Amino acid sequence: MKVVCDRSILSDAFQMALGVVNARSPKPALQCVKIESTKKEVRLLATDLEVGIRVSLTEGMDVSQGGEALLPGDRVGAILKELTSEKVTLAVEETSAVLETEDSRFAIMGDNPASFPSVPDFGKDGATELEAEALRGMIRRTIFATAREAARYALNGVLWEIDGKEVRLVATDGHRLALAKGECKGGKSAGKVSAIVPTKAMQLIERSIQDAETVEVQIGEKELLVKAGRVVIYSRLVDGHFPKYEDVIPKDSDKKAKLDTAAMLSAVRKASLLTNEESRGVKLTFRAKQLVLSSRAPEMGEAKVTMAAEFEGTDDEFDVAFNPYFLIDVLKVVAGETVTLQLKSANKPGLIREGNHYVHVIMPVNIL
Amino acid sequence: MSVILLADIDAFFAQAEQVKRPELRGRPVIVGGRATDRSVVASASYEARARGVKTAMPVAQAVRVCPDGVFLRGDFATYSQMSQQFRDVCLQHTPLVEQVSLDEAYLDLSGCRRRYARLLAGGDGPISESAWPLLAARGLQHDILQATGLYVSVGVASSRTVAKMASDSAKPRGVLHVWPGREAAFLAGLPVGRLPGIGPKTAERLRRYNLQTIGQLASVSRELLVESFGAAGEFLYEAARGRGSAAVDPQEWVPRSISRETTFEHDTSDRQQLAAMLSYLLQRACRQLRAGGLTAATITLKLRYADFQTVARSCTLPDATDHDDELYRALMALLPRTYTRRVAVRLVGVALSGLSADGRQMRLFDEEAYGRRDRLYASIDAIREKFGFTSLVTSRAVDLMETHSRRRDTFELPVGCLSR
Repeated sequence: MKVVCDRSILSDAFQMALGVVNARSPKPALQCVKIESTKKEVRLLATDLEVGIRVSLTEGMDVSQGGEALLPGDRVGAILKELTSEKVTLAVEETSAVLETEDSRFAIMGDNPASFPSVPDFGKDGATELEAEALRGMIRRTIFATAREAARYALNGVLWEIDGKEVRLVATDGHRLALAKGECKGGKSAGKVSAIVPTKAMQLIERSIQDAETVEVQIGEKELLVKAGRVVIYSRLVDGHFPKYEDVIPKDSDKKAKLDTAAMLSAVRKASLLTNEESRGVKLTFRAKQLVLSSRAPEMGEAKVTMAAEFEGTDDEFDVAFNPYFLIDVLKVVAGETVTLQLKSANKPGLIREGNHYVHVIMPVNIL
Repeated sequence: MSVILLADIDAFFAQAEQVKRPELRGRPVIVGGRATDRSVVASASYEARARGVKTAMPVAQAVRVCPDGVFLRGDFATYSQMSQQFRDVCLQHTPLVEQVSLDEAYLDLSGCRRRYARLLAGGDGPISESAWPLLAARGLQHDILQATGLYVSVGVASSRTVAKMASDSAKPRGVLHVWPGREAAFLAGLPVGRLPGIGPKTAERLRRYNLQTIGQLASVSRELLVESFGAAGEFLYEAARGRGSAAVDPQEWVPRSISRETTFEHDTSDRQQLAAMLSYLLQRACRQLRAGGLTAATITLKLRYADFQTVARSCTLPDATDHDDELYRALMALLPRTYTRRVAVRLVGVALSGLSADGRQMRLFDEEAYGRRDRLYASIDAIREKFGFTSLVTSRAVDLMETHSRRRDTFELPVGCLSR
């Protein structure tokens, strides 16, 4: 293999592939990035067996001889970053690769390309098309609600549901739930499919599609494939049952609090300063025109923050407590200047709805 | 000037036994196990201490030094009840009571001067300004004895640290008031290791600098202590002068952990037997958890092999809980990870930690089921309250019915589960 590459294009693509590489993998091949080249293009492949990425490069690549190589990811990534020249020549002889510029030459011991597992490619069957920016927004507004404990593996990912034209992303950790809706832009209708995609893959997708306009999605039995421009991302699906989320979205909330989003975020942040691991609740006390947030941490102290609010649904004072971090997470992603928190009682979930494209449900902390 | 009292029940478990069975008064009582047992001494009466029995000494050794001792297994339910009475009496003296363990409570009487002045004015005219705390301490000691039959020692001082040390010096059955301004003089002759907050490591380090007594420690400058001990140097400097926090936090006492453990009569490698015992110990711990209105986030399984190697593994649950079944599932998942050697086991234990008395994060999907189980455990607790703990045996603990005889409140274990 011999290719003269545009260094910055190759370096950027390499960094993208490195996002998948597990530098501490016990399998040496998985610590590597595979480079394949044909006359027409250069491909970079990386996988940790759960998630895989392939980046295809055509521009800025001058291939004089095709071939393949398996190179240590972090080392080559660092070299490409450090080099300053415009062009770099990549040549492969046997298992060692040579990276060369006018002033530098690196001969790098590679691994046997045959030891690298195959990374599934985007299929020939049609795909559902989505707008990239819209999908990124949907991911950003759901991904933080996924569960982190391995014990709830079905919740360690984001649920994709495609039903005709509608696409839904749902995430929950068992205490809160985020649901973002979007539209398919075109492409082949997927009919009705659903799949749980691991959090890591969702992060990778969010990062990797930012330059693209359109994203194509294929959901199979066991995998999800996403194609955006020159990047294809493969992810294994989480094999588990996602809970019936529709049942827990409240439909009978009879109290409404209209709040300034930024002011609420600031107030919750302040009140959260006096909570700790054991007492994670901030109490919200609503009156007609006012919201008082209070918190207490044993052996630390108490906090009280007051802000303006428009509250309707009851003339009495109304108390409910939430984990402040759950409120902070959602307040950071809602777009509107004001946000409406819908409530029912102190032991029923709170609901934040934005248009008909975003729903967020938070279960309260039980204050006795 | 703050007036802080520390009331500490003398040799609590052993004295409690003597109260329960007056014929044991004046005899060396050792709580921790029977004479044939393989456990350690949890508490020894002063008669037993005079013969050389110490806390945490193996029972077998205690038998050698005190062959005429009365060895008892202990009865946690009684101790717990007496501790509650002790707390109630303290609360009659001031609402500012901070119970720090079953047998120790700090009382803040700073605001009570006028009350005692009035009470005592009927006597020999007005009492002196410095005398009333001592009289208050005597009154407390008297009231606790009347209500529970237990003797306590009381230390009085202007800070918690000195009150604690005064009560230690007053033991048994004593009252000691360290006058304001006389703290340093009182502390000077005591060994540094007696200061609360100084562990064996720090004490050993201080001894290497030839600082044996608190008086010697007090002669070292603040700068030198900070240079040698970092932030702890500040603490040492203040503590050596008897200064320190006087704040008594009257919140409900939340223990850091709740644990139960027991030694088997014979070492065992039978996993069913281990599971059955763990289930029983867990149920006992959970009952205390719920009685205190607490939830636990973390569960620890402890296991001691026949060769005394001890291992413990913990697991933190996604949701804090006070339900036996959720904790039992976690415990059983820990068992194969903890019991890894092909060696018999002599002791098992369960500890619940990450305890919280505050609100519980409710669940989105199984809140209803959680509520149902809440009611189930409330009913189980009520039945056990009325008819005794063993009136209702659940889960794997049922296996114990074949191998252990039952008393009203406990299975007959060779070594009782005394720890909190």
